[in-house]
Amino acid sequence: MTTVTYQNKQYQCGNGSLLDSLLEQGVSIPFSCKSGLCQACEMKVLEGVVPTKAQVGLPENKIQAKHFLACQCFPEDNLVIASLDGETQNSRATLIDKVRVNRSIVKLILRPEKTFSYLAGQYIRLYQSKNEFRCYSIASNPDSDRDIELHIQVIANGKVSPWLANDVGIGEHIELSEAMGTCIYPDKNTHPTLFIASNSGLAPIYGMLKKALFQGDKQEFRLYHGVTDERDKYLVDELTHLSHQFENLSINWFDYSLVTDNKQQSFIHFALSELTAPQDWKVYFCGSPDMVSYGKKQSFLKGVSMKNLFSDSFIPSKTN
Amino acid sequence: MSLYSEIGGDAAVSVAVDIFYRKVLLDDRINRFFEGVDMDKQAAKQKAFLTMAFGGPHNYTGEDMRRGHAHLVKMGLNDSHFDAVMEHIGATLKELNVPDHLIAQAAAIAESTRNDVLGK
Repeated sequence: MTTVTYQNKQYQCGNGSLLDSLLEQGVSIPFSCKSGLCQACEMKVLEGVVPTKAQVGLPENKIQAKHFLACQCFPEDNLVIASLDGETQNSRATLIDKVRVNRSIVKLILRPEKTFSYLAGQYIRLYQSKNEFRCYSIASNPDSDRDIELHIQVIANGKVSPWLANDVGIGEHIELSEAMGTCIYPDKNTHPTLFIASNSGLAPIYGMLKKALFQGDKQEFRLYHGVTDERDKYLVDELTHLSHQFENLSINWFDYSLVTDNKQQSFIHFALSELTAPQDWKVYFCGSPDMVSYGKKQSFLKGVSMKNLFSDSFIPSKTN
Repeated sequence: MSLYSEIGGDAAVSVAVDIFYRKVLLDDRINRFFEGVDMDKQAAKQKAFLTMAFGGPHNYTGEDMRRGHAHLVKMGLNDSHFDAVMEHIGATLKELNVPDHLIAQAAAIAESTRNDVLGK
């Protein structure tokens, strides 16, 4: 008999699967096939270790982010688990630097009060108040950067981003969630990799790219950064410097204002145009939802395998 | 030995999903039913479906199939679309050099879901 903690309540788990045990005790968990195939009952383990079988069939990025399938989990250990959109253990960080990097993006550097673990490419929530928060991708590399770097796209009539850009001062504290998300760069990768970012989608891509290069991955890396217009480019010096330091990295910019219509599509066609042998490549997409969904579909149709496609869609907040 | 283990189990089904899903997305007869659907979730469902068609482990019931496709039936999903999907299953397995008698087995299992999928 093991004890499983979910949403601050404890449940006993007997011989059945974790999913069945929770369902029998009246907990509502989405599920469908109960065979480890449909992945409807995907959850995340916060404490303890789930048996390997509970992660069979999940892609490597989800395994690394400690996701598992409740229907395939027969716990051998006491666990603390969470749903994927659920509550997290929040912590505090101090704002130690703030720089405007272009006309709409402010770079924040946060120093966590206690050890903060995350994977390259993940995101966190920043809280303005208990119920008012927004998600921002981490642009730093967990292997080499001490602090957390964020690129905040300031939304003119938004709530949280103007507060971060204008009101929070250096030395003040900000509440943040645990790191979340499965668009991550792994500890080991031998596939040539294409990174495609639009505007502040560069943030997680920059974190992943630094991880890849600094851990010594030698395969080819290509970065494509699409921007609304010339004034929205940023990190140009840093990226150029990286491309001089690492000859396996090439960088391309795409200026949306230079094409008249179908801007996102034109960007994707440009970024995929030189992709020969697509079945070998990993492709990451971060940024506007239209760019991400169009890009994923086009690269899949071109021959990139589903298991080598990773994405993070920056969905605008609906509560503005 | 089941068809599922004969074609190579889980790894082979993942390869088959890539080929099958690509065919479905390129087919103008049926791709409207897949518009605006999250590709990762869709691929996981297709994997579950193909695993079942290949006689692999699954717990899908006719009722699940009915519920899962009800919104598509409202959009006009009918026999012609089901036929198109059957075509792609066959072509996918052919591309993977699966022998004809095993393709026929998979097709028979997939065919057995027709009435539930179409809500008949």
